[in-house]
Amino acid sequence: MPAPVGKQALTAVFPVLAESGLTIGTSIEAVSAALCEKLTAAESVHSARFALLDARGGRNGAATLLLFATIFDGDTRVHLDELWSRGGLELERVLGQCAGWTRPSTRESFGRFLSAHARPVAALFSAQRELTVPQIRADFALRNALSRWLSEHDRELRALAPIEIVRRAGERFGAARAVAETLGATETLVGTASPLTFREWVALGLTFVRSCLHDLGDLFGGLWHDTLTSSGSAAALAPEPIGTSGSWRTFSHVAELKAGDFRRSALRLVLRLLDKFSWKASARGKVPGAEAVQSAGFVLLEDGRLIFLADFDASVESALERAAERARGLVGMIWSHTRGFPISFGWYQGGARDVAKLRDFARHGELRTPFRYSGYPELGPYQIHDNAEIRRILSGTLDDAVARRLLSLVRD
Amino acid sequence: MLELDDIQGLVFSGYARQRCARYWFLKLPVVGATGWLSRLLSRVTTSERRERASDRRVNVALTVSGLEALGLSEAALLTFPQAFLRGMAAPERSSLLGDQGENAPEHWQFGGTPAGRVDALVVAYAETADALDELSDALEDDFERFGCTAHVEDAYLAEDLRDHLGFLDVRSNPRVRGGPRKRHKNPYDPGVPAGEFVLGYRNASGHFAASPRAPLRASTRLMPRRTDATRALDLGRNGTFVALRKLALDVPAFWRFAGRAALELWPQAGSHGAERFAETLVGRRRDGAALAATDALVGGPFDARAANRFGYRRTGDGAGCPIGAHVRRANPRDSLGDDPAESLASVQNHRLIRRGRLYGPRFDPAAPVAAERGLLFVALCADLERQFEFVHETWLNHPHFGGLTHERDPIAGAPPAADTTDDTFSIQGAPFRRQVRLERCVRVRGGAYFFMPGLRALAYLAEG
Repeated sequence: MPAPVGKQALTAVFPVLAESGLTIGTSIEAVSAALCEKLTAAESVHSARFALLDARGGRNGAATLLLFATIFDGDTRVHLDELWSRGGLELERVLGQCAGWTRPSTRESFGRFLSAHARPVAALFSAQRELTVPQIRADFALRNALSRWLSEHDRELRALAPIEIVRRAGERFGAARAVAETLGATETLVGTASPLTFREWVALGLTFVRSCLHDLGDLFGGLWHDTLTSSGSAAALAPEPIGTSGSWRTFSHVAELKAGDFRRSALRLVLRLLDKFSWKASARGKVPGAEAVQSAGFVLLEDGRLIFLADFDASVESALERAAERARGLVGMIWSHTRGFPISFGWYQGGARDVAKLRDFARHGELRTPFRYSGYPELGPYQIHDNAEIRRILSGTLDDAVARRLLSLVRD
Repeated sequence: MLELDDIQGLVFSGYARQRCARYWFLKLPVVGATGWLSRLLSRVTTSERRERASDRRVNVALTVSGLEALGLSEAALLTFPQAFLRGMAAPERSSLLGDQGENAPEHWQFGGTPAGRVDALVVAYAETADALDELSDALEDDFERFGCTAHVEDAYLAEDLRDHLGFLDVRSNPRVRGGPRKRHKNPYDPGVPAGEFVLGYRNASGHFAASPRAPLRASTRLMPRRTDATRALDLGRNGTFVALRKLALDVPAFWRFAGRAALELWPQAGSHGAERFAETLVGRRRDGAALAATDALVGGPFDARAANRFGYRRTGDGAGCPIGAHVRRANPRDSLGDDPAESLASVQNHRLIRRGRLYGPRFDPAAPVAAERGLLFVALCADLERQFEFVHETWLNHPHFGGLTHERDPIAGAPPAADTTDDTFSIQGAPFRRQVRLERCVRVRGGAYFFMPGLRALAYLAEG
């Protein structure tokens, strides 16, 4: 087993062949169910998606770009090998419509193709970044088994003290717990999170001050004409898949950076610091304002666009509401450098406070995402956190308080 | 300052004295819809104090197709919010609201299919059935004259203010800051700005909700205000959005289920077990007292002022009031996240004014009558997505609400898809939670999103 390195993000952008530009979305939808099913057996893939965006007269004369993104555990090479071995057939049918794909395709050519088109992920937030896919699934299975056991032995157990119930649970689920503990948990990653340095704080402060000045310049320079003023005229969000089990939703979004070098450098700094901070935040498990965010990744394209790829444990509307309520400063810090974002000043004023306009901004930039996959669609960040805690309690030292805590974690 | 003479009366009053009500779900004629609206205009009740003396009330609201029938241009229609334009029965809205399976729009009596199209909602209220009939005759004459066809529903407030399950309606509507009605201060309901419910005013985050616009017309006598320099009128000003759902409740089935569940949970409880179980599902005692309220309140006499003066922080683990209980999901108060003050502030962004009424005969176990009965649920808000849909999607139907894993609201929640997990309800408590398998007794039988314009906007629309 490779050394655990925590969740990683892979994002690659391919120019779509001109003759496939209009049909590639349908082609992806045609293989979507089969690819999902095959990826379910993959142990390294937390989530994956294909999204489509316009090429803006970009490379190779392509009108459409295809974005492929995954969040995975461990080594990139191992991940690419697993992707190919599980879903090679379907991936070939999609990627074969992109410029530069060579036939006959092999594991090696697939790896080379993805590596050649990979884009650096400027920031990645992922809840419980230290937990692997098998770990999360095993923790969930353990929690469900414990819940069932409590229900099935309700009368018998109810007469016992909490510590005795948990002791019996420990005996009953010892094997499952042991399995859960050998699945590559990389909890030592928590130690790798480091606070921002003094220089970084100073840089952030200076960027804030310059952002204020630029915001003023934008306001007086007439950039507000870029902002959206109507909600009704916005294009509809991509319809959510009906009947999908669980509450997991994906969101892919593109926004164009405002003109000027400052905006790009400010955004790079903010994303770099966000990436650093997110390690620490994800280690805490429950992040205020990001309760529904399973993962969020940012990619800066060479043509001056910011791609945002997120997995939510809620509808996009609901996630936006929560972001506007509890993380509006962070939202402003990132998207105030992009066109179309509600008028803002200094990250905190305006901007995401105006939820209706934030929703419009999100809708206007939403990318069609014809394929989406999650390794555990029925779980949200809180459930993953609590399930891991149940496992830890069952394998740790028991006292009455700890036993009560465990029983209270099985809320349903 | 609220322009009460321009705001329809239902926004700030539930018309508690006018117990009898009739709802007409209208299909407007291809020609003549504006004539009908002109006739109706003089009957529409506003929020003005002097109108409170009247014993009859009429309000009107329109769907997208209704606005189209009244001749509103496509450009103007496109300034309405997306949720309203798409309608409650659109697939993505159904997905958010959990309207699937038996609750899917194709099974609805109105609002769900092209055949069940609704263009307008007219609601009439009166103190007596005779007065309502009299008022209805006048309104229906106009429907007939202008070629409107209607699906009609009669509704009422029970004299004892109890619903079909015998729960007292404690009217936990939000306290509107600056509203015409004074309400007692409540630390668990710090008050919501009028802009959360009426377009054209600042909302809780200090902004204006997205408001529809219409082109300026020289002929308009009673014009809504202009928005800005774009020569557009603020058609939304003093208006509100209305989400209406017809929810059928199988009362006999509910009590059979409650009896079985109570026997399983509390075999010693005897005949009171079913009632206790129903209270646990709802999160309130049948007399209106909250299960999570202070000890002094629980068991004490009912006090309407105190009935909404409570939070869940004290019973954070679900003891007292289960995490998934209906009233807790519908208004989580201080229980979201780790900070009670932040939770209360967040909840204020998602409040609804509820104006629901019962329909169908009350169920009498001694002389049961087989008839459809339930609730015509009406919610008013300035932003359907941020308020009505958010409450459904994030609180009522979210399986992870409050740290749960699988469950949905036991009363109003959508049943899970057949191929997923069991439909259960958990009652948290020492030493560990108890669980029962749910039987769903509420079905969605109809619904639609409406826009309830201000009086001046109605006059503008009536001019065609």
